[in-house]
Amino acid sequence: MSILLQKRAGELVFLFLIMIVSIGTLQIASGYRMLSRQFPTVIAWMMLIFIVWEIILFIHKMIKEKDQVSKPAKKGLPSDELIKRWAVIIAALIFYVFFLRRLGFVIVNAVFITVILWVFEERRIPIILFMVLLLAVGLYIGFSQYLNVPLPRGTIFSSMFSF
Amino acid sequence: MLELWLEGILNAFSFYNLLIMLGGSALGLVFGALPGLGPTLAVSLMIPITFGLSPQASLILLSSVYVSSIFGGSIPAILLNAPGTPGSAATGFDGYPMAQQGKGGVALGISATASLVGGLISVIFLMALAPVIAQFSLRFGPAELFMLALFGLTIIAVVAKASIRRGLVAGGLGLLLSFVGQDLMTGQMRFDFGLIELQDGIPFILGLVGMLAASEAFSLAEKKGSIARAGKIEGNIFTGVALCLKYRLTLIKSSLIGTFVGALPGAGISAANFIAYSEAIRTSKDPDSFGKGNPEGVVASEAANNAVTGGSLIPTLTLSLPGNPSAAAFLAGLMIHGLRPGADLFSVNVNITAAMFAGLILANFVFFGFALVGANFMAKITLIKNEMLVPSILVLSLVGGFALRNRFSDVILIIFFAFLGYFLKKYKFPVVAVVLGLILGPIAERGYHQALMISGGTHSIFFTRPISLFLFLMIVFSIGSQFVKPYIDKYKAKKKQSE
Repeated sequence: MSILLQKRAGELVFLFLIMIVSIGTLQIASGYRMLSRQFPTVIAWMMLIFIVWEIILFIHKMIKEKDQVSKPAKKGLPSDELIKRWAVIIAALIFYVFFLRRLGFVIVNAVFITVILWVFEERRIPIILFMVLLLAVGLYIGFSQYLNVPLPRGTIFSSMFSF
Repeated sequence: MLELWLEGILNAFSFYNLLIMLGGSALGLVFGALPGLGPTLAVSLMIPITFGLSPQASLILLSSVYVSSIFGGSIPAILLNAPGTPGSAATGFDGYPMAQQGKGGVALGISATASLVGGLISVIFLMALAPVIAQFSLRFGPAELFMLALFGLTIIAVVAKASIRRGLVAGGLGLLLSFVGQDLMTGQMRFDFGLIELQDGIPFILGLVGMLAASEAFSLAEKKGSIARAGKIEGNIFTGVALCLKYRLTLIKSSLIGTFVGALPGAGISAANFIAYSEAIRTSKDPDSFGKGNPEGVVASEAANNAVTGGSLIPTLTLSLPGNPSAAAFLAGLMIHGLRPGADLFSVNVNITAAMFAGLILANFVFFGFALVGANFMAKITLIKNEMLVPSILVLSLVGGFALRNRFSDVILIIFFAFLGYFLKKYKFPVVAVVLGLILGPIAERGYHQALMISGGTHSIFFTRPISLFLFLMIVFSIGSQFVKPYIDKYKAKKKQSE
């Protein structure tokens, strides 16, 4: 993550990733039937040509500007605060994916919202409670009861939230 | 006959039907504004409710839900960069920058007015020219659809202001993502990596919500403050209404594009949305201002997407060929009440058809009224602190992704698209190009293969059919003008200097 926050190095890594995707696509598509591989192959070749062109230009530019020190990507927040926020968002998203099915929509969202608000320095309990009620409980009831879209109840606590 | 028309129209104005219309419009707005739900689900869910209603009331309910849900999609697109429906994707390109400038209310005013005008124009076409347009739309075969999709993709050359190479790579990425899943022409599974979850392909709404909305939450997490950067709101909805009417030509042109593309089975609302948007850029005197909060961008996108409603009903009501999935749901609602599309609707059952047309017109005014009342209040969302918005946008995006197909894997796809969108934006790749590729890719590929099957493998089919040839020339002109434009600008500047 930190490497991607460093704009120069991060950008180069991203460009290389796209190049790998293009090569991978060509490799995978070569095993398909004629009609199925036509479009992906043409598109992947186009991407490969342009991304290699872009990488060459980018490296050339980097060499020219090598005296300049790379800076954190965004202004406004100090880098340690930025890294903390990113770490929490990523951890919260991993928690979301792994526990949505088990704990259900309401609990997972309540935890997700509380953690993000807390780390983003919103410590007023009534505000956090309001957000949890609105976005976790409110959305659950709205979607499940009124919009006919069943949201996960959670395999562990399903009986607790059977509205 | 005239009496039957009048009877139908008066029926639509009864207190009971007006009440149904108000309820339907309110529900439609909610369905449209919540990512992942959208007009098709809204209309489909209303069908069981119509069982107990008269045919007139049923069609009025379905019309109001359909029309309002499409406008509803523009509200989160403008305020949070989270398009509620695929048809409002292009609205956010200029609507959201307007919201960032504190002009969220103005943008909503533009959106409501353009939607109203687009909706009304399309209903007029539906009433007056339905049989003619329906016959003409049948001339749009696979070759024409392929060219139409390519024409839509040429906008990449316009939106990739920073680097055309990065624009093309981003567009290619979107196209590659659109190829995931089963190839409908050959049955071949492509890029599914053995995962069952990928075999149905990636619905582009996941890409839209992830790359536009959730990735925006990531960007907001890095900043303090609010979406409206100055911390205040400028102008109001009435400023937007007045501003929208200044772009009369774009308004009418986009409405016609929306009506016509809407009438093409298989083209879809998002294609209409992007084609109208790209056309507005192409014909603008200041194309560089698009994507930075140009009101004309909102006008084009919104007029076109609401014009699709009437347009999509043209082949639905005349030929039983729904222009899009929402129109298919509408058709189901029609048939449940024993109404058969075709000549009968315009002769035997004309009183019901008249009530439906009146309902469609009134529904446009109803959502416009809702917008007038609520827009200034809704615009205040852009003043909420980023710290509060980040979890809200993320939760709405994730639940929207899940609600689409009730799949956990879609939540993961939303997160994937969120990171992809974040890094693409960070490294100056136009996200719009990825979205375009994702939407237009399947239309282009399907059209190309089907056209070749019809022609027996010869590519001449693309250049011998008049509409296809016309679209091809438009593509050449569109791309060519992008290459020639810098030279013309240079020449003009030189001429000015010498003077």
